[in-house]
Order: sequence, then C-alpha cells, then structure tokens
Amino acid sequence: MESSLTFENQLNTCIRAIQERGLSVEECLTLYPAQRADLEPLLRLVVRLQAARSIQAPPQFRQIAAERMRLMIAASPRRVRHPLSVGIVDRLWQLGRVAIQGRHVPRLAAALSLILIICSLVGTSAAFASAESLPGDPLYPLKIGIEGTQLLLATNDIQTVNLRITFAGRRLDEASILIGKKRSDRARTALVRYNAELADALAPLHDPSRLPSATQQSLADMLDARLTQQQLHIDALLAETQSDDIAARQALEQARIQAEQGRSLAQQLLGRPGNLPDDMPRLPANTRSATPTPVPSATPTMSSTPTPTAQAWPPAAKTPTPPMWPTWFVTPTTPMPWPTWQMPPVAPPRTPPGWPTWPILPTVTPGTPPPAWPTPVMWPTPSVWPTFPAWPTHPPLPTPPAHPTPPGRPTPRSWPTAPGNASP
Amino acid sequence: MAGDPRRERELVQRAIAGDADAFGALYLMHLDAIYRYALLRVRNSTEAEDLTEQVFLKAWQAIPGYRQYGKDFIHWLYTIAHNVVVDYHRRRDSVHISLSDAVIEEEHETSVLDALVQAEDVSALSAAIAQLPEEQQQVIILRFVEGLNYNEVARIMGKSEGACRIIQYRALLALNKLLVGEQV
Repeated sequence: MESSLTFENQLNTCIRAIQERGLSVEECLTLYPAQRADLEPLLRLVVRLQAARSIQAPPQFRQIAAERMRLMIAASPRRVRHPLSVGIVDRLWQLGRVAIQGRHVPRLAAALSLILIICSLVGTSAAFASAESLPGDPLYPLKIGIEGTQLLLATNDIQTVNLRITFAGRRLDEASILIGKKRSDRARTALVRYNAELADALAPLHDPSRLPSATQQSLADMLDARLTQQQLHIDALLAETQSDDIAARQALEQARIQAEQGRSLAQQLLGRPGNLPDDMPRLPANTRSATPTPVPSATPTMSSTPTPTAQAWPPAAKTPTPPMWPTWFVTPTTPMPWPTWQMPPVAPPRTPPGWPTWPILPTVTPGTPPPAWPTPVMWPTPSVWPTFPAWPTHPPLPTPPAHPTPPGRPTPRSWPTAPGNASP
Repeated sequence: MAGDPRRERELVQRAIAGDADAFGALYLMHLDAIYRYALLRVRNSTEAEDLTEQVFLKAWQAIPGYRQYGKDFIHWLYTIAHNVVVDYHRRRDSVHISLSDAVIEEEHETSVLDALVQAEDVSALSAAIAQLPEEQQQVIILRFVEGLNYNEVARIMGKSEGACRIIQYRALLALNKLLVGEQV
C-alpha cells in the first residue's frame, strides 16, 4: 500500500512536471530511475492523451452550427432579468397604469392600502430585498404577497393569466438558483409552486366558452409561447441537475409534464393538434393542489429527458415569418441583430488522402456579400435577403458517400448552397 | 479555451442580461472544447455535433442562474456537457441497436475521427477511454485532454481533489492496460 502511494506520488510529480513545466518524458524519468519501467508507459500515455487536444469541430459544422444556434436563440428568447430597483419601479408603474386604464379605483385603493401596510410593517428595504428572496427565506412570503397584490389589480383574464405565467417563470428561476446551490428540498418547493401557478394560469382555458374568441386566441397564443420557453428552461435544469439528485429531478419531471399539458391545451385552442401523448395524464380542470403531487414511481424514470429534436428545434409554429427566417432577419429597416457574430478564420481542413473534400465556405464581411455566391452564410446586408430561397424546400445537396447522414437526424445536414459555391 | 478571462467575464455578464451577441461570442470561444469533450465521450462525430448544440442551447436557457454556481464559464459548460452525455447514454442504452448497424457505425465513426484529427492513435485512445467507468472517462478527458488542474476537475465533478487524484491514478492504470492489451 505504502509503495503504491509512493509510486502514485512520483507519477503525480512527473505529470505535473510535464503539464506545468513542459518537461519531456525522458527528463521526468531521470527523476526516478528506479521506477522507470513502471512510470514510462503511463507518462507516454499522458503525452498521447495531450495530443487529442488538437481535435477541433469540423469547419462545416462550425458554420452550420453558428447559423442554427442563432436561429434557435432567436426562437427561444429568455426573459431578461432586470436589476432589482428597475423591477420594483416597473411593478409600481404597472400598478398605476392598470388603475388608470381600467378605472378600478376601489381595487386600486385596496391594493395600495395593502402595499402601504406591508411597507410600513417591514420597511421599504425589506420589500426591495424580497424580490430576490427564495423559498425558505424570511422575506419570501412578502414576495408572494406583492405578487398577490398584483393579481388583485388585474382587470381581465389576459392580464391575470399573463401575471400568473410570469410568476410561474419566477418559480422556475428560483428552482434554478436553488438547484445550483444543491438545495433540492427548497427547489422542490419552488417547483410545486410553479405547478400551482401554472394550474391557475390554465384555469380559464378549461372553460373557453365563457371567453370571447379573440381573448381565447390571445391567451392560447401567449401561453403557447411562454410555456415553450419554460419547457426549454426545465430541460436545461434537468440537464444541469446531477443524476443522483433524485428529488430535484422528480420535481422537474413533474413540472415538465405540467408545462407540456398546458402547451397542449393552448395548442388545442389554437386549432393545432396537441402533441400530448395519449398516456400522459391530463390536467384536471380548475384544480390547484396545495400539496405536491407525488411521483408515482419510487425510482424515477430518467428516460423522459427530452430528445435532442424536442430541445434543439422549436416548433415550426414558433417561427415568426414564413418560410423559415425570422422577421428581423429579412426586414431591411431592422438593424442587424448579430453584427458582431463573425466566424473566425477557419484553418484549412486536414484531410487524409482519399478523404472527400468538403467545400469550405468563404468568410463574408457584413454588408459585402461575395458576388459569386448569392447564398449568404454570414450576416449579409438585409437588402440581399428577400431573394433568399426557403431552405426547407431547397433541394438538398447530395450527401458525400463517405460521410452519410445517419437516419433519424432532425435536420438536413446539408446547407443550401448556390451554384457558384464551388470548392476552394 | 478562453483567451482573456476579463473579456470572457464581460461576455458572460452580457449574456446573462440577454445579449445574444455576447453568447454567440462565448459559443465560438468554447465550441471546440465542448465538441472535443462530447466526441471523446460518445465516439460519434454526428452525435457529438448534436450534443454540442444541446449543451449550448441549454446553457443559453440556464445562464440567468449561472452566477450562482461559482464556477468558471467553461467549467459550467463541462458540467452541462457531462449531464447531456449521461442522458445520451441512458437513452441510447434503452434503444436496441442491431449488431450489424453497430459495426457499420463503429467503422464509419472511427474513420471520421481519424480524418478530423489526423492522429491515428486518437481513435484507439478514444476507444479505450470509452471502456473506462464514467468517472474515470471524465477525469482523463478533463485532466489530460483539456489540461485542467485537480482543483478545476474537482469542482466540475463535485468531488474532492484527493478523490480526483485516486480516480486519475486508477484510470491511467486501466487505460494503459487496455492499450497494451490492444497492441498484443
């Protein structure tokens, strides 16, 4: 045991010498000549492993992935976090605006009185601090109270649902922070609250006949968009959560089911077929459970983690402008939203003899697309985009024989290229 | 790896505030590292590309809570990448793949890997790494391929530095045995 420990220390010393001081294997072996036979193969292995650092993403993947990532990010915008002070001012501004527009003076008076009472009791600083509080914090009830006041001031179903879905998003943010702090128990509380907020937000949709059709449409549109974002957020949290954090994963899985159910409901109202599987439990109408719904299985099923397709590609309905490009992408009056996103110079591909050569797309500077290549890959000037063909209907490039696209890929790997795009 | 830590911190702050351009810069900065990590873990370049995209999309969604983790950005990305890879293997294990399909895929991907790196033995190395237990794979890749120190690896894996040292030692011995056995 002792000799093993000594050998391990010697090995570590040599590895550090190679990694930090750049010593060669031979130089390291001179430090421990007696251990040469045992040390040498391991040190040579370390050097071999270091060589794998030269692996780089293929150039064509870099280019395609950069484009796709831009589109995916554009299709799944995040709620921007305001600084604390801005958040409070924004809320007060909303209260006043709602009161003036809706002329609900008695409700405003009640709400303002409540705010004044709260502020006088716990002080303005506590109210400010409560905005960033988390479940289990002393100021958290105050945060929930302020949200309740906002709900009191809502004058119609759209405002109410909008607030509730916003609060649900906050519960997800809280869960995200708590999972990061490895406080699974409190994260679970936040996720239970998320489910409750979501159930309340969806309640009006269970009896749509009492809503005007325009309101139905607005609510369904808004819920569909917001729940898509929240699903992605939950997926991200599932990815971050350690596999052994069973409680947090269970709560996240439950929240994901709730969000999926809500989105399916919204899509049904929009006249689209919901993608809720038949075996998924339906959301009961107008129910709000105060206690967390237990997950039926004691051993969580991790296979419900979303597939790459579901995560990576937002639904086609989310794409703002047909055929596939967002409005901001083609509207000439819109300032270029990604001016700084430039592909760095790509090293020439290192292709072994006999390996098919992929066309390398030239670097294009913004505003000056190359005349011989009308299909822009970087950010072109907006004026050249209206003629861009819809890429889903573009005939795909023939796949190179030695690099076939495996079945089941959600997206064509071939990128539409113009006839002028020849190999360099 | 990130060249200028101060610039990276600035980009991260902007990305947290919702600046997609800043996130784009971070994406290009760390694309190779995450792709390399995924490729060595799944040994399939197409899957590695998919997983790399997933990692960054999840990072974009989760970055508002990033500051709570107290990790460097790339270390946070490795954590996400690890979980994405674990989920990938879990899903893959549940899917039946016929032997003939698996052989075709193996041959094809080995070729792609060689073409990518122009280093023949990286393919053999990655095949051997794939036979190690998951923890050992992670330590080997992070310590030697990515060049992180014990402290960084320990923070990514949520383990002590001592535990990482032991895992590394066992992993090197096992990997050496696998590679020697292959030569014989």
